Amino acid sequence: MTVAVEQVPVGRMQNFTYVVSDVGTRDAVIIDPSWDLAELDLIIKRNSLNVRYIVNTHHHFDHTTGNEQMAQSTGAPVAQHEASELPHDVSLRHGDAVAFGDSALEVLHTPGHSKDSICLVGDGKIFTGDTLFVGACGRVDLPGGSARELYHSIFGTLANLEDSLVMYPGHDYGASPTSTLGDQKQGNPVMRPVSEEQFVARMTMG
Amino acid sequence: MDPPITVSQMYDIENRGHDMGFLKKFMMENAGAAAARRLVEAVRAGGHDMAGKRVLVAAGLGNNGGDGMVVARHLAGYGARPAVHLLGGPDMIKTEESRWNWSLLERMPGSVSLVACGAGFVPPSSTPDVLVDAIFGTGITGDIREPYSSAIAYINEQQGPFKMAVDVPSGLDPQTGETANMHTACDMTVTFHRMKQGIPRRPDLTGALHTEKIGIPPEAEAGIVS
Repeated sequence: MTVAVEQVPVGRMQNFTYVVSDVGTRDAVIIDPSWDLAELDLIIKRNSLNVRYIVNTHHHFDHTTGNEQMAQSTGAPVAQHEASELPHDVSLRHGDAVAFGDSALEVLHTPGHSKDSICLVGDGKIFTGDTLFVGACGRVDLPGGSARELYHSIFGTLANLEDSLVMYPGHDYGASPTSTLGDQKQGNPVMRPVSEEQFVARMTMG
Repeated sequence: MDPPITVSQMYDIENRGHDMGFLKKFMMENAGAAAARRLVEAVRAGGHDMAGKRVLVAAGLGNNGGDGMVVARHLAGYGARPAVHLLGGPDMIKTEESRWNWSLLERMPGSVSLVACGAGFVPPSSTPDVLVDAIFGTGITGDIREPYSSAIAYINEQQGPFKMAVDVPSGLDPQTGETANMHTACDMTVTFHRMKQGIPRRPDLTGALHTEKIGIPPEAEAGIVS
């Protein structure tokens, strides 16, 4: 499988929408469609993509506001983690695969920023949503957020993944729009190994 | 001249042509060949010959970059010494057509030099005679960042070389005519099939503007262009 990634900066909250396509078949998934849907339509058209799924890394509005319109224009079902509070067509669980063409993205449940936060991994890439940003992580003080859960998502799940994974975050909050998981393990303060209690204390301070 | 079309219409026409069996691979071949011919003519008009000319092609990862790869292959046939600087790793090339063209160039070590850029654009050791801007063929959302920004900066810093944009100068939105946070300014732009609405709004960036047919069957326009 070979996937191509279009990272599209959208809206006024520095969000990224991703168009991820299987190069051989032109089947694609859209991750977190928001706001600049005309741009997404052009990318779909330019590459003559068949959108198979719309996937949300979590249910927050800045990642889902374009769902309905994209579902309408592409006919693709909306896939979210089963803990999502929003209506969706496909419920995802940890370990599920979102398949498109000859490619697939594996679902990793990574709660902490929200109950339904997921990361998607495939073809040497990881889409981290608001679980992990370049140099930072998502907030844990919103409803459904939990520093303790985020600790387990980061150190129980993400820290065990390969360093070479290219990381595509949900917001453009870092020094660069993408990174690698290895660089984040080295340089992202939230991935610095600490005890759970220290982590929770740091995350909930101020 | 035919009235300019929208970028969206152009994509529809390309997709229709592709579905008819005139594959995008062929469109890319014709586009690159036409641009290379225009470039050879422009160099000749300046009293020079393409043979021996050092040509740097800055190639993006999409089909605009693929067009640039075709330009390089054709220029090699004219005796030029093209170098293609790919703005990313070969495994990051986004389309089948462009991958195929890159793999062809990989089999031409004697006539085309290839540089794959990682974090930043790798400038050549000496200034080329010609620069080909095949970085972006579309409008850019958000700011242009590395390695594209240093490639565009490099193109803009060179005073001597003749500069050709493939399809549209990078950073210029072919639909709106608006520019991103940075853009190239070229001596000549060769766009394909039909003029797109935003391109002629910035003659200061496009330089001499040419529209080249690339073999798309007119039937592919049915219902798209009135």
